Amino acid sequence: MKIEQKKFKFFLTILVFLGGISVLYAAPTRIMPLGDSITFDAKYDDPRSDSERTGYRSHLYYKLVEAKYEVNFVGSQIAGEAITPPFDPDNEGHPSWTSFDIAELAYTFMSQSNPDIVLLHIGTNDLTSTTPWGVDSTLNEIDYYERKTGRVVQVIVALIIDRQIHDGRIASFNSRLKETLEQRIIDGDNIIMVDMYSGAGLTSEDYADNTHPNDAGYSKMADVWFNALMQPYTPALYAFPSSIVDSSYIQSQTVDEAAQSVTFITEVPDTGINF
Amino acid sequence: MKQILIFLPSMIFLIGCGGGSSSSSPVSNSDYAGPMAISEIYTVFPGDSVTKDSASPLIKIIHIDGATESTIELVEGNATIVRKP
Repeated sequence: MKIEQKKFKFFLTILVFLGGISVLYAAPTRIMPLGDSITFDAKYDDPRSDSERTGYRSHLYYKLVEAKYEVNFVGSQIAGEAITPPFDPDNEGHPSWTSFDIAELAYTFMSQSNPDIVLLHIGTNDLTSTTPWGVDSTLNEIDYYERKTGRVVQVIVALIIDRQIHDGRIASFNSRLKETLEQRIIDGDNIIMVDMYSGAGLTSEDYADNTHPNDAGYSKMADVWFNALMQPYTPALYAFPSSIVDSSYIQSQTVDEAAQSVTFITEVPDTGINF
Repeated sequence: MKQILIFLPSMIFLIGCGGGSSSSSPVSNSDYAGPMAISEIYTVFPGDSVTKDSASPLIKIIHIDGATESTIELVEGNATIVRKP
């Protein structure tokens, strides 16, 4: 009996030790840079190989690491793996894709990479269209992914950068996108809106061509993403409502990070609500 | 003297518990079970449930991260709180 007790205590000690390690080790946050050539870092007449393309991603990665933010960039594309200092080159940037192209495959991207956070900058290639429906559809696909998997995804959506020569279409697109995003936030969507259009501080000096930033411009974009990522974010608050009632019954949802609370209004299903 | 020492704290306890409006204090509605009143605030715990008594009742739920309980309020329609047995 004494030997058995000793064995039990030994295994219990091991279990407690392993449990302690798992608590101490927090998995890195999976961040998906999702967009077009501005995300991938492709520009007109670009002689660089994909392994040298970094865009805002390298700048953002270095800032996050310096801030002790455990990050894992995810996505099906790889770009920038040859540069130094090394950074995580995974991304979901697709040169020349429109917001509608992105929307068509957004659910697939989410399912393949399972991000915790998405950095979304799309619409530059929508050409003559000023509607935000491609972005809206992309967000719907991400919502669908959340419902199917039960995972919570925060989407940081950008009002997109202007071209070096002012493009009135982009201004109109951003104006309509802003309205759409504000309504989605009111409706409880887990979205942060960032203003790359006027908030990044890009000037004509920050462009490599009429559409794509140069390294200085990309560094400014990285600052905007970084500031958004540094905001308080408690995923458990966003997850709580749908953990007790199907999201189709929830009419509105508001998270107060300062108070660490979530308030939501919901219908009561026929099966009731179990706490 | 001993009786006074027992009596006084008991009175203070009873007065404290009896004071305040039970209709607005979530603490006093933490064990109520039955039909909810509109705009009344209740506290619910794991194992409790809310059932619908009308076509489309709406309730407001407030939850603080890390807490086991939540507070609820009937906004519209009819619903009932069922406590964990």
